[in-house]
Amino acid sequence: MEKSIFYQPTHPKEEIIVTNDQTFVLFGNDLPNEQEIIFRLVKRGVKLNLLGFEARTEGEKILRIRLRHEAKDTVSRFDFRSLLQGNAQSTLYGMIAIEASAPGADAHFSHRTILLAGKAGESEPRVQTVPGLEIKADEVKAGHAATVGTIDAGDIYYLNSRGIADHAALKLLLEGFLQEKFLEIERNMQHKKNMRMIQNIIDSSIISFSL
Amino acid sequence: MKKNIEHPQENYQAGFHMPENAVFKTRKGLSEEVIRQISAYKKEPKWMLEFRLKAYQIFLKKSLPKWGADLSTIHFDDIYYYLKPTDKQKRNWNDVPTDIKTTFDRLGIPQAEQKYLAGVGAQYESEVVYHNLQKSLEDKGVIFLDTDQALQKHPEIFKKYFSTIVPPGDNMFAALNSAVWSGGSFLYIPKGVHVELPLQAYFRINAQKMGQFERTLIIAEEGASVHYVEGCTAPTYSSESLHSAVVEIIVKPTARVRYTTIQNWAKNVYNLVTKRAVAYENAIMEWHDGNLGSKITMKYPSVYLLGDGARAEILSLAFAGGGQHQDAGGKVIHVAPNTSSRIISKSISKAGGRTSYRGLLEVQPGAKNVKSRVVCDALILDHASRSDTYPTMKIQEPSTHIEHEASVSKISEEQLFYLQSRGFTEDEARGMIVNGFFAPIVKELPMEYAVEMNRLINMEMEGSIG
Repeated sequence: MEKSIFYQPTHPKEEIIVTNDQTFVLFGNDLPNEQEIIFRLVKRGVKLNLLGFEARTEGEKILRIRLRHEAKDTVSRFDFRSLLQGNAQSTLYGMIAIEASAPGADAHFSHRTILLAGKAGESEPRVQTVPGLEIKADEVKAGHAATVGTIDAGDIYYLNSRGIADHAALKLLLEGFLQEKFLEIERNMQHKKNMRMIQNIIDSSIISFSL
Repeated sequence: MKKNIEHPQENYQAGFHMPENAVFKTRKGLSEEVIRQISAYKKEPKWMLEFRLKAYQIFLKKSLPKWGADLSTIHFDDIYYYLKPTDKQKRNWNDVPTDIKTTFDRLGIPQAEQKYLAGVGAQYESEVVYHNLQKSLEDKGVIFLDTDQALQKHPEIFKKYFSTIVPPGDNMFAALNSAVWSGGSFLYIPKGVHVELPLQAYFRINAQKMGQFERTLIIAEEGASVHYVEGCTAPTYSSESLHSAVVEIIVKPTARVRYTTIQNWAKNVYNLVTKRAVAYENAIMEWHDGNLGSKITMKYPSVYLLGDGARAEILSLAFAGGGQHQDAGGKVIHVAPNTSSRIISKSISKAGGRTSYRGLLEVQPGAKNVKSRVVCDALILDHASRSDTYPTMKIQEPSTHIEHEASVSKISEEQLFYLQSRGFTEDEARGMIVNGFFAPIVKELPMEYAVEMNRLINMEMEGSIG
């Protein structure tokens, strides 16, 4: 049975043993400046769904995630989205390790980042993505993807031409970017509280974004 | 690694000689004395000797990298660091290992060339052809020489660019190469000159063809273009186990350089290479890298895009069989705006081999409007083999378009079944699929190399399990 969990680690270095299908959501803004989590998929056929996102205008954070497939036919999906502006800096390590004991594994990691430029003279946000694959079994499917981009005048113009003003257009684009995977999670109280937080960050980023 | 390298107690050679036509070989092991011998024998200017000695001091202070392949089995004091070229040709055809001779035959290499590749022939027969080629290059103002000769004949250009791209302090093996380098190519293309024919090390007459510590320097002036090809698909037999080359390339505005390497060193060789290029405004730099042989290869050709509109392309192909570790990839550093890059890496590991892609994509602040795409695909053919990917993307400028993707899988059963149902044997089907997998890279090679490469892959795929 899948069960959604909004996960807040209590220790900067954690190891989580996954024995049944689970979904974890990580909220980058609430994580400490350095956080490491190792997920070990130890039961045959288990599925891990890991989603994460952050929307920050300051702070330097490092997040290290390792997905270790140790049993046959295990499946993992890790999708993280970063929205950064101002002095925000983010480093994400996403290592997929498939041991020789895990043929039939199916793993994918994806990190998508939007960097929003500030006004001229202000500092720029930075991102460092370090995905990795260490594959020791052969009957596997493993992959990762990373993109870094921005929202430029062209994207806004498209929505303008549909009758949507600049601020509303930017909000739509950023919300869509962050929410896409997030909306798949079962709703609960905590979820609503964080949605409001994200809404606030998006609202304030609109003010500082200049085209 | 030992910091104080000692002279082994051999009776082999007491002191060094400088007779006209005798064999010259330094003692085993590395020391300041050995370096002085090398420099004196080559009759180098003082500045080069001082450069070598300083590099040696740096080498002593460096340590092996804590990442990458396992280099702990290199015995630095068990190596000859300099061997005069003619010594190498004393090999007997009967001494060449049978499997190498068989490979030559399977690849369809002509008899005379086989002897040359095995280090048996004195010199490949078509000397006349080479002389003519040399003349046509000279007429255009192109300088294409052995690096040793270039130092003697063109000291000003040499000194201006030498070691400006890869300084000795860069890493341990760059320091080692800087101390004991010998041979390699020096290529200078004047402004606006396009060299149509791919240039190869073959064409350097009277030079050490496949040295251990080659130092290559290529300078393409504004608007120039050249394609340089190094190595060959045929297995390269070597008694020396450590090969540590350095290649430096300068691509000036609107110039274009393509550097193709096919490496198929015998399986006792450690191949540790530092390759770096800088590209200026609207210049294009292409590294095409094929890693088939060697016990361990660590090689990450890199391009620094320093001028507006410059472009880098790195195509990397790696094949690791049992006992091999190909640790390769590429690095692109976008310093200037409006630059673009593409990295394509394709690797296969089988029978216990290991391939690792290691790469860096960096976009520095101020490098606006950069577009880059990195694609790494790997095939892992059986449960004994291993495939790794370690890419890093460091993006410090918002207005970029970066895409990276990697995948690891095995040969699709469906594809195999489909081909077998059309009458191909399983081996033939595997060969076709693997050749197709590598095709985007192989099609960029000069034709003879592409043909040999396809044959080599078919051979490698024969009898492979899984």
